[in-house]
Amino acid sequence: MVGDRSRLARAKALAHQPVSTGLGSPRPLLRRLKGNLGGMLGAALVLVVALSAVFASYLTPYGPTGGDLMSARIPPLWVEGGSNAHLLGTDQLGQDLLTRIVYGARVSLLVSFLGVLLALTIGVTLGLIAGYFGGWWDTVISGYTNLLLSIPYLVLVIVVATILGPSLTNVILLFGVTCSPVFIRFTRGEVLRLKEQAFIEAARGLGAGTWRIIPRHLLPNLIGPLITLATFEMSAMIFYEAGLGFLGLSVPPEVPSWGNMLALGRQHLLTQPWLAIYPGLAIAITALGINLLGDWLRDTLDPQARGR
Amino acid sequence: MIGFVLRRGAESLLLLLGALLLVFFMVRLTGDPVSLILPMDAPMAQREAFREAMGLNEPLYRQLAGFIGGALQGDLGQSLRFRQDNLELIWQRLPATVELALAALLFAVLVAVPLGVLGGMNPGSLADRMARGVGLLGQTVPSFWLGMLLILLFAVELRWLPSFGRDSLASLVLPAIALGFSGMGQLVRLTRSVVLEVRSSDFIRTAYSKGLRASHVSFRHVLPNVAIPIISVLGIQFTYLLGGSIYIEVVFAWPGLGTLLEGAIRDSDFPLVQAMTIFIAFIAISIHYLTDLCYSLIDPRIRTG
Repeated sequence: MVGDRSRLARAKALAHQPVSTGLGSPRPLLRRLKGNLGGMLGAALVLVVALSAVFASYLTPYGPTGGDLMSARIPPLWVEGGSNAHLLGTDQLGQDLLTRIVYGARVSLLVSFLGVLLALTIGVTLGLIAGYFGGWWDTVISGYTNLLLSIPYLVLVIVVATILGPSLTNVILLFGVTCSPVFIRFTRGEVLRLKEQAFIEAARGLGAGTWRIIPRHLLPNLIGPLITLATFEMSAMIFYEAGLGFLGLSVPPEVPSWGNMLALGRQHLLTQPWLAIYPGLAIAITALGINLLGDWLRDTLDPQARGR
Repeated sequence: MIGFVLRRGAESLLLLLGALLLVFFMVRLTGDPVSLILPMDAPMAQREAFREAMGLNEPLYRQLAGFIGGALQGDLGQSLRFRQDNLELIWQRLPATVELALAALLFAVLVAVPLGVLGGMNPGSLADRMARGVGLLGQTVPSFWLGMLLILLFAVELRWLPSFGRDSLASLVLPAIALGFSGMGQLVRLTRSVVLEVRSSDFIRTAYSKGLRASHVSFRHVLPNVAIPIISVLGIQFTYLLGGSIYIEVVFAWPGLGTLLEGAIRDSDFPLVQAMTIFIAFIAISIHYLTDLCYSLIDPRIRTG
């Protein structure tokens, strides 16, 4: 009796001991952000972009579309001929550039956030099934993953976008599906590794079924690295969305998105260079913020990878 | 070794078949391929004639067999706009894109490897901070935006280099830098982290404890072991550059596959888009296969593992 109970206790202790600590509670995580210069800068940049996306209509007196033809082709304030009514100048329709950049943050953040969320959901689900159940499931899911990864990503995205046609929903769906292999591969690999560890066996020995092991023992150990991975994917997706917009394959051309604006900027590169410079700068700043945040998250959640 | 070659070869063929199926069904997934190709207001009679000409009225399995059979014989259909074999068009444009991608790869390697090695060898030094900075920049600057900035600075302001076309070696410089930039960032990060890893491994400690000079350890023990993982990602980098060149070719009006694809999309030349996807997938799968073979020659553990 006593022996049994102590074995049970040991197994229980093991089952509740995660392999890596993962996230922990959010409060210490935020406290750890203090003192990390890169992380703080990244968080600040992301916050600024996110806030301007949410409060775009309060930040600027102009609307996102429809300009005043009388004030077309005005250069930025500090260039000769600039006007302080339009800090970054206007395009050939007289639309305020800064206004459109601020509104453009909406498309970029919406597409990248929802796209990553969808990819994460598909990827973790399929990755768990492939890794945990193995067999035919694994063959089919891994085949799908390898197939999507075998076509150069940019080409795949361009072709699918051509077929689907430009709309916000289509772009989000497109990125959600085509980015999922990254998450499938990662989840599958981690599940295969964790499955053999003592704490999972202990949980199984205690009578835990599949539906207890997956949410209680597997997922908590995946969350940390998945968040890091999702962060970097989000920054990549902002690039991909802008690239599609640049080719006219993302949201409809009249919608202010950074990619659409860069496409316009290319057409007028020699006469109105500001139309190309500043939307690109917005992408670079956003990507910098997300990457700094991602670097910090990785160092915090996975101390072994620090500085790599 | 022969087993490995055959097994990976069979896998690659399967992937290629999968890519063909994917493209075939993707085009038909949205319903009617005709509506992708013909203008929206095309009359019914024209649609019917087009369906007949394209063989779209045949049963699906016959279409699929014809499509795959044609592809295996090197027939990727005809372009609507050029009225010419798609494969011929692709072959004409291929050299320009390969030239651009190779130049970009060369630029990335020439900058990234020395910087990454210097940074990894001297953690915390100026070179190390530069390596980390370049690594971060590569991830934050979109290539097509960089391309436009390069045009504004070096072609418009300074008038040093041409901004478009493919006339001389000078016109290759700006597109190659713009295309290679993000790959350079990735390579710097990789090189630096591999150097850090190798330097902290046991056999390097042993080399030092034998009393070998630092320079000897660096050149004879660290660097050869750094080369293997770097060589293995170059193939992947190259296929990535083939995809990325689409944007750069558009910015610099470079007469390669990218501008061909962009034009095909703009003119709804769907057979050409389809053919190019298959062709690029074929190249990517082949390069991946060859990379695996090279890697297994260098590192025998791959073959059995």
